[in-house]
Amino acid sequence: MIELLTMRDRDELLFPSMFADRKRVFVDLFGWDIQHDGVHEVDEFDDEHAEYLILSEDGGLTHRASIRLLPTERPHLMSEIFADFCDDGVPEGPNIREITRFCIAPRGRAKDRLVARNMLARSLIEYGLLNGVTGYTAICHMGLLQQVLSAGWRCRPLGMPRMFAGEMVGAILIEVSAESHRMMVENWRCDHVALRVYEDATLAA
Amino acid sequence: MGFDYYALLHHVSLSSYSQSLDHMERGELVALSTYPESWVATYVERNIVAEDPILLASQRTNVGFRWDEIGKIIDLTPAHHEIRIETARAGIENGFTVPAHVPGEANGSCNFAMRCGRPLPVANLQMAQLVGAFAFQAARELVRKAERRHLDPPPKLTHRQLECIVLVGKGYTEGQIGRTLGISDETVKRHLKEARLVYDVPKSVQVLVRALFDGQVPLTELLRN
Repeated sequence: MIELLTMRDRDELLFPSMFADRKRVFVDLFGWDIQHDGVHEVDEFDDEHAEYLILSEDGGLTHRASIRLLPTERPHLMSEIFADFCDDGVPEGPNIREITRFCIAPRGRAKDRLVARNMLARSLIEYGLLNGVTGYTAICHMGLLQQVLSAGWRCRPLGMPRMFAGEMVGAILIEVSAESHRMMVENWRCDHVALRVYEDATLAA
Repeated sequence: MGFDYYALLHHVSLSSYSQSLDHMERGELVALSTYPESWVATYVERNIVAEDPILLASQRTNVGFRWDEIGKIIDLTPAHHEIRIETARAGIENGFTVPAHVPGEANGSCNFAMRCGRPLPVANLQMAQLVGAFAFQAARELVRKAERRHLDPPPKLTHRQLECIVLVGKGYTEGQIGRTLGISDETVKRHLKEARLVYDVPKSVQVLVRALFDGQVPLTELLRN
């Protein structure tokens, strides 16, 4: 199940589970030099403005994959740390969100993790279409760019990639449209309805 | 960008590479190149793909690398040195390779190469990194289209089912939908039930979302009062 949560839902067990996986992935596996308390990775952007698309298992108790979405009209990762990566300024506005902390739990089979990636990516586009988002900005490791492009999405580099903390990374803008949705469903052959829409439409609102 | 040659390929046997076409005969995988013809002929004939140290190195990393630095990525065997020497004899010396790994598919790469004696345009390597990734995706896209593997067309809703679904999206109850369309509640129920069956989903709102994505219902129609 994929849910759209904010820090207001922080009491849910899913949050500690997600923060723990973020620590495992970004600190332990990728070796990023970011703050953590030894178990959880939480930073200053995990505040009341952040939204999370979280894929869970065990009836919503265990984190499987997640994305953090930040509004771009206020300080976010790209404006605060990676502004230099955008040649023509950092894209911002009510229709643009920043994608950060794309995290897939480092457990289970690669095939299942790919399914998790597809479901989450699809829900990302669905979320965008339901909320009038026209573009997602992201700082992308160059090793992942091919994977992002392979979804068939229209992506625009915002500047030249360059080295950051020993890795080649670049700023990109992913355009969101019904076409993005169709392309990725064809390209990644993922056709499970991903984002859960409740009958009372609280999530779709 | 200042490079002399390029080659875009999936790292698979090149036995179906057509020299006259400069790409694979049946468009299932990517292989495009402007390398010197004689070298391509040798490369394909001997199926060097499997032992090419550059391609081997590109399996081990996912960011672009210079050929003169592959020693940092893989341990070069005498056979690898031999291939590098042969490549130089064919007129290609240094280059820059952008690995193209897409999960679930054969590994690939976009290679930019220089004639012997010509230096790598070092200032353009970051640009090559981007261009390589986008070029590979463009080639994948061409191949995907050439596959002509049409996916099943999206399910179609009838005109009446669509009308009911749009009104669900406007928050109408079944009774209100019935009154608006001038049909009975029972008929509305039936249309919605059949629409759910078409998409095989339990709830009408899910039909709405799917129909939106399939383009059967334009978003503007839902937002219009």
